[in-house]
Amino acid sequence: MTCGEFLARHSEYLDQELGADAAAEMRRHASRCARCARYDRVLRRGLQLLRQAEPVLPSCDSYVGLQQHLARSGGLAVAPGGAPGASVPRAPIAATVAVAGVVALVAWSALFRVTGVPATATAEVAPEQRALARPVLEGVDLAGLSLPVTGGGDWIRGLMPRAATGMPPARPALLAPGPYTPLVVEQPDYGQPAVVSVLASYTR
Amino acid sequence: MAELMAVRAATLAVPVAPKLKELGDSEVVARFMAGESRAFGELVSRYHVRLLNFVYRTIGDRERAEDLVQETFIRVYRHLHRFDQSRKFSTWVYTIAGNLAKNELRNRSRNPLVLFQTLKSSWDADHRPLEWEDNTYRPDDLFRKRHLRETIDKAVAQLPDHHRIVFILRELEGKTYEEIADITGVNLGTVKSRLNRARNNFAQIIEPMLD
Repeated sequence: MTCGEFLARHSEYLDQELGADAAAEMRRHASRCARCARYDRVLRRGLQLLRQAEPVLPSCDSYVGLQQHLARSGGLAVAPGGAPGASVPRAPIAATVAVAGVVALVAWSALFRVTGVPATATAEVAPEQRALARPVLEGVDLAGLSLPVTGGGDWIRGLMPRAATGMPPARPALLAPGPYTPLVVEQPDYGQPAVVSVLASYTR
Repeated sequence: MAELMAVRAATLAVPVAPKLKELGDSEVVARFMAGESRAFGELVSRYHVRLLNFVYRTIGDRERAEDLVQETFIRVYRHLHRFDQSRKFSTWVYTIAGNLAKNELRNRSRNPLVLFQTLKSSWDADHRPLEWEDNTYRPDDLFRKRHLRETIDKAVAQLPDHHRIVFILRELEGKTYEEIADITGVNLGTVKSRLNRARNNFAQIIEPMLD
């Protein structure tokens, strides 16, 4: 076997795709040829290091963005037995209520700014409550998943898990998708929902 | 009594639907098609990180990779009803992501933003958050380790586009030759040849660092 043949078949050798005889021939060549043995060693070590590299984790924004995109694309209503691409009713009432809620909330917060109340008042939420502020898309519920997040997800990552507080599971609800989407977090302990501004958590 | 026994037997015979996490991809897809909307979330949780790493390694731009993965899931959502359920879902979803990544690379080659990309990578390096290192390592080991990792990343980035996709699918995603052929739309011989060349190039680039 020549060095050229060794290199040409090395990939299959590495992936154990060669037959026993061919693989033995490759091994014999490597034992005699220092250059090919070095190539084999370097490549195996390099691939090992490559596989050890830490994976990139999605940012929290990407989940929020995905939910919003799916909502915009009309993916919210999936009728039983109906495929997402098929013509299905779109849950117009829920959407109307959600939009009306956001409009009312925006108008309400603008009123606060005019009357001198700090706009950050709506974002005054304890850290453990902020941990509960996880966006949910009606119909496509990604909230129950333990998805790893990084980067922009710092406002979720590292905060106190709800189980540690001994409180019952929170049921966050998204009013409507959008860049300034407020989240309502139900707090069974206090009886009142807290409004958390996503924007406030990003700009903090 | 007999009625009671019959009712009890009927109750026991009612199959309990297995949890989504316990199901294979095709079953999760089937559950979603049957109207269980949470099943889509399960698919997202299974593939989001994997696709992000695949696309990121292919195009080398983290933010853009996130956009493309998002676009992948939107397409999956829209076209899932057209998905041939006799095929592997993972191959289909990787094909969509791979095509989007290829389009991105093609668009870049038409409208090169070399200067911006260079600036961006150096900006990223300069503004990397402070990391607390394990002080049991010696500083020169740490430096060497980081340098090695960067060299390996660069070696992957230097591979030609069509070699890089095959290389990443094999080395990082662990796909078989057949799956890679399906995902990239080329025949098996081409997959083997591209993979061999990619590995050869990769070894040449990293050789000075490793031996």
